[in-house]
Amino acid sequence: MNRRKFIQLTASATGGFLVLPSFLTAQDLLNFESDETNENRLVFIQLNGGNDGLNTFIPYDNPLYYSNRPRIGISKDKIINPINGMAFHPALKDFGTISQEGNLTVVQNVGYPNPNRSHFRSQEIWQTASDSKQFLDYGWLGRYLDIQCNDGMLPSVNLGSIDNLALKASMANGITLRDVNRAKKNSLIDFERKLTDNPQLDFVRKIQQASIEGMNEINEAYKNAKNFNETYANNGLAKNLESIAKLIKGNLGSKVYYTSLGGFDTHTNQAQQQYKQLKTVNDAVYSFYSDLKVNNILDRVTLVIFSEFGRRVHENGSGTDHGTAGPMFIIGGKNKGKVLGKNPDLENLSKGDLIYDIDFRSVYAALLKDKFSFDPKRININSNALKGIF
Amino acid sequence: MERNHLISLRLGFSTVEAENIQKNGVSDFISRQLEAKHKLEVPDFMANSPKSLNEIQEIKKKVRKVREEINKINFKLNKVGFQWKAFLVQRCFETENPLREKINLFFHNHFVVSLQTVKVPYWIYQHYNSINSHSMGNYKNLVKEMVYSNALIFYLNNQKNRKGKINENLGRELLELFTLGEGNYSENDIKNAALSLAGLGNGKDKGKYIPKFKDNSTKTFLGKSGDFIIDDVIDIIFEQENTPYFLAEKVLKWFYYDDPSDELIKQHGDILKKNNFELKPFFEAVFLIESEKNIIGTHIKNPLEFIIQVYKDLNMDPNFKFMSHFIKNQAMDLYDQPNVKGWKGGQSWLTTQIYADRNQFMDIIINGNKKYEQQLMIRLKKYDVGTIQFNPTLDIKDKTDANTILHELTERMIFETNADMKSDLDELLKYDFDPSSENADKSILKVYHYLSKTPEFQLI
Repeated sequence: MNRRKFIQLTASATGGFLVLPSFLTAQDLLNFESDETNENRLVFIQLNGGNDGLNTFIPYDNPLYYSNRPRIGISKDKIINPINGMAFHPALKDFGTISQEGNLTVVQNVGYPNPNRSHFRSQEIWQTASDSKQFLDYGWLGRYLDIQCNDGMLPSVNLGSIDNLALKASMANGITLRDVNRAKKNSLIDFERKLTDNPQLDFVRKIQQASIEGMNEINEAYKNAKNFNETYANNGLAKNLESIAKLIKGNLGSKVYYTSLGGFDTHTNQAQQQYKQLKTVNDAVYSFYSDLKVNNILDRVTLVIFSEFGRRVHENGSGTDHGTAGPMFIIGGKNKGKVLGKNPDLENLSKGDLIYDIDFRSVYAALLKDKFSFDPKRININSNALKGIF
Repeated sequence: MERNHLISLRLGFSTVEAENIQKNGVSDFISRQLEAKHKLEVPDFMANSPKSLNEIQEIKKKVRKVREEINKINFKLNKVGFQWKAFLVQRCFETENPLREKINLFFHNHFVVSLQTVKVPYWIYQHYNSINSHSMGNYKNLVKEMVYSNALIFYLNNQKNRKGKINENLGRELLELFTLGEGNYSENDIKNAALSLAGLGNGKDKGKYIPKFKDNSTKTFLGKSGDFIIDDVIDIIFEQENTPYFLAEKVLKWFYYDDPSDELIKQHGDILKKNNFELKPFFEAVFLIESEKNIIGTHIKNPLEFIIQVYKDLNMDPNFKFMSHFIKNQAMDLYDQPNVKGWKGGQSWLTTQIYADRNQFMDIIINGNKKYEQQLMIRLKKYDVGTIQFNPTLDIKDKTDANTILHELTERMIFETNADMKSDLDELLKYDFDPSSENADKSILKVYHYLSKTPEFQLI
């Protein structure tokens, strides 16, 4: 049964037309277009807190890098996979492998004009693809899905516990799940299971899980994916990526998947903290990558990794302050495996920060255009698609 | 959750009384509420509607069975019912004595009558009026008052209970649901209660015995014999062991716990008994004793508690017709319970559908959906619903930074937090959040949105 019909039915069964909005817009639904034959999937990892780009993809050949960062600069003998004056952080050894296999594109100096250094605001800008001074209510992916999402499918899946603005749509709202396994375990079938000491809270939590729209599709996809058994690294991000891979392998129709990892706001103790977080990313991403590769779906799954901003060029004690531009990483999806854009210019700075070179919206435009054959201007992304990724 | 907010929610429908409770103390709040002259004036739409079944039949006779005209009359009566439901929501929303309205609602769910069956909206109004004027008096008088209520007599078919043609409905429910509870009487007692009720039919403002239908034989009820009328039967009921405990249990369930312990029921029942069924000291003791306890998260908010809190928290202009419609869809149709037992309450307030609807309602309020508002207005137009608009704003006392805002909202909204929730909240409103920035209010609303959808928000 298609999803919106199902909603209608349950709505009339209870006389509750509160569920109406989903089909109030029936007029719009008549006009929906969707390309079900397109099997491409986009997966995003948002690194929260402002990942220090200069210590992630390192300009090890530039003396200014070391003079600005006497304490936290990463020495040449530790870097991974040097290419053209740039190399990966030591924790990202598998990024080196993926790059050597030709499946990793690095887009350098990505940012936007008049950068905002508030986590909060800068994330909003990235999530809505707005200008720096513009406030939009819906996410860029949400806007895309509103126009191009089949009636019968779940538009998007966000692995996390709070809704992500990037996916916020006026109609095509997807599902946000903290943990697919837990959601399944907490389902109504297992009503005897004790989750907390408060039986009332237990009751409401179970009801909550069961009331999440889209759980059926998720369970179905999980069942389909049972035969694929891959081993993932043991960390939270890896678990989320494993769930996403399962859903994709299980033929869930959703085109867009999202998850995030915090802990990148390294004002102090950056060396240890960033190492730990990047190691998590490395292990999780490599598990995901290997899984997709073994199962022959790497070509149709594009993983995008970004952060809301990079960090100040000059270190501040044992850490760095909020900055501006940083690198984006794209894995899979038949990308060309290149390093795009100029190496960071450490000479010409604005208030001590890198001046962005590539607008993040041109990367978004390329994703929509090249992966979904969708004209990004239709959702007010007016930058030209960045060439050379795919 | 901050204690005064919890008490305000439990003894009312929102957190607005918290400040008052904090300033003057719980016991002052309770006693002021219980002492208040809680007036009820007949609303115009009710004053102008027919006062009895006869009157309605007269009106219908005049149009001589013309189907269309009859339909119009029925629709008008329906509309009065709809207005009445909205009027009750309005009372709960606007009253200075929310605790009194909550007690009234408790009794309206105890002595159930429904608009659908009773058909005379004015009788429903009178039923509520009786509750309102006796809810601080003596429980025995309230029961007598109820048994003579035209609405209740009609709802439980006692107008058909006549000598030689006994209908046991009211007699049975009087014992089973209103006073003693199952297992505390025999079938024979029901029969004799029904005999004592024979001939009690609808009268002008209240029920009256019609002499020719009255049964004048000797009845034997719970061991006593005589030519009883129902008042005598009720006097005997109030000599029974279980009567005070039956009410105490139901009150505890309505306000606090799904499954109160036997000790607790005994403790409060004893107080009711000791006070000779005077309700005011009984309620006062229940609220005082339970407010002192450090127990939280035991009670699922009913739909009315849910929606009034949300409306007040978000400073939205109330549309009472919409609100009464909302709670109807949430299985809390005022004066139209599904059966004589009334709403079960407790966990039955939440099903997956109801919870999904609550969450979807929050999505609509916070994210905005003009189409939905318009559609609702069209749908409810025939009931003159007026404008439905959700324009949420949120007052925050201490807007210093993300921390103060998060702290204030969690203390106001949810009964407990946990580590996962805390990290979500820190994500939602990051430490560098600037409360004076352009989009700040929207971001704070997102926190409200998030919290309102947690299971913890459903419980008080």
